[in-house]
Amino acid sequence: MGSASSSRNMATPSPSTIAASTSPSPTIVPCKRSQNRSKKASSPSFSDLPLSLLEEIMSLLVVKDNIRASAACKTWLEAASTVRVSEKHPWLLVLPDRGSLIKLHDPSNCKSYALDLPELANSTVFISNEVFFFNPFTKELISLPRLDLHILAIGFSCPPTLVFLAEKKGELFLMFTCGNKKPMVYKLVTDFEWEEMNSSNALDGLTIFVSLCNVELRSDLPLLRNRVCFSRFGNNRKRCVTYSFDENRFNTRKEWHSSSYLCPPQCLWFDPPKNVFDYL
Amino acid sequence: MSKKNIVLKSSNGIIFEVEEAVALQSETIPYMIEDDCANDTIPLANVTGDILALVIEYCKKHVVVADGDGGGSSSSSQEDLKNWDAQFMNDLDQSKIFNLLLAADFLNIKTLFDLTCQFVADTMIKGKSVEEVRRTLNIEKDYTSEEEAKARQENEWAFK
Repeated sequence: MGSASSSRNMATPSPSTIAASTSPSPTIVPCKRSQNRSKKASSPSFSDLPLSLLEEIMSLLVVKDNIRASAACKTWLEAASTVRVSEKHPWLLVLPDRGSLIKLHDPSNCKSYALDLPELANSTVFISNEVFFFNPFTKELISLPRLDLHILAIGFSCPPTLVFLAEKKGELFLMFTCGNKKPMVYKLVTDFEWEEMNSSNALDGLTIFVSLCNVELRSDLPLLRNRVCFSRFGNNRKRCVTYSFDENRFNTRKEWHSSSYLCPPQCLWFDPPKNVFDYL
Repeated sequence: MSKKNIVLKSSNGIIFEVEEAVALQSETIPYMIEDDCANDTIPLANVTGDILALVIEYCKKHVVVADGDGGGSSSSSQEDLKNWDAQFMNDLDQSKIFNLLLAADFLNIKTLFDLTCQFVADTMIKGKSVEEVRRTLNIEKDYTSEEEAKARQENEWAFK
């Protein structure tokens, strides 16, 4: 109790007479930013909130509101971008016809990278029950015993139509593509009912990455919203062929008549590791 | 007799005497008591009287229901509490909300802090234009027009 006596003495003088001067025992109060209290007569500015509090608020916003909030002022930009959860888009892995030089395409910035992987020479990307995991970056190879895998996410039909089934956060999507017609995307709304997603709003900002072997769905990718991205790199092989639901068109004028143009074999969308550039 | 009271003093010297259970919804206050820095009166140098009154109003409401829950009360009281929370927040102006947020953070009252953050996010930011947000929350634009145009261009879709 000994050490407490001093603060007790300080706290005793009749409290009602204490004006808003300094605190009687400032040491026990964690120091918070409160300079702006002095101008509390006018309404305070929410840009003066401590960053940690702003981040709490921003973390409650969906991406769209987060981006708008970040345009309010610089402090808000800092808070909003710290907590913004943007999904990463997948990269396209393309196995070579011969040799062991693998191509990696980043669809967002038109860049391609090459990776020499003798381990994968003469491999083929296809769906089978023989599965192995291969990490192209660390070059770890994990073989799995023969499995009777039930693969939900991929479907095939006769050319020239391709059918894809994909799942995102428990929602099921079905997509048809046929030649250079508009891809048709359906969402399962009830147990039996598929709803066509035909306007940009209905696609809800989704990006669908399609290859012959897999489908990846992402939401709210800033540059690729409301698009289907195919595993074909057109336009001088810089950009993948996409169909934009906002513009209702493909990003290439080229005519094609076979779905294998859009989804050539030997390609796969995959998530690059965070430190991908250490390996390239 | 069995109930112990705690005396809180706001930054502008206003005294509040509350039941211990009410005050202990703050995770900061127990430390102050333990530290024995303030065994008679707990001075809250960061919280003004009007805000402290709101905090105590909130804590009183929530402590009563916590008691009721112990007796196996139904979900209707949870529903009532939610409605009460909504009304409580709705009655506050921008300045009060701002200071309540700081107070809830400082006093570490998690449910009140979450409630206030959610209210700000839902009613003051969600679905609002940048201009509306600036106006409601009294934010001064510190971007140059070029910087702002660039920021908007990068994420054009979010501003439609």
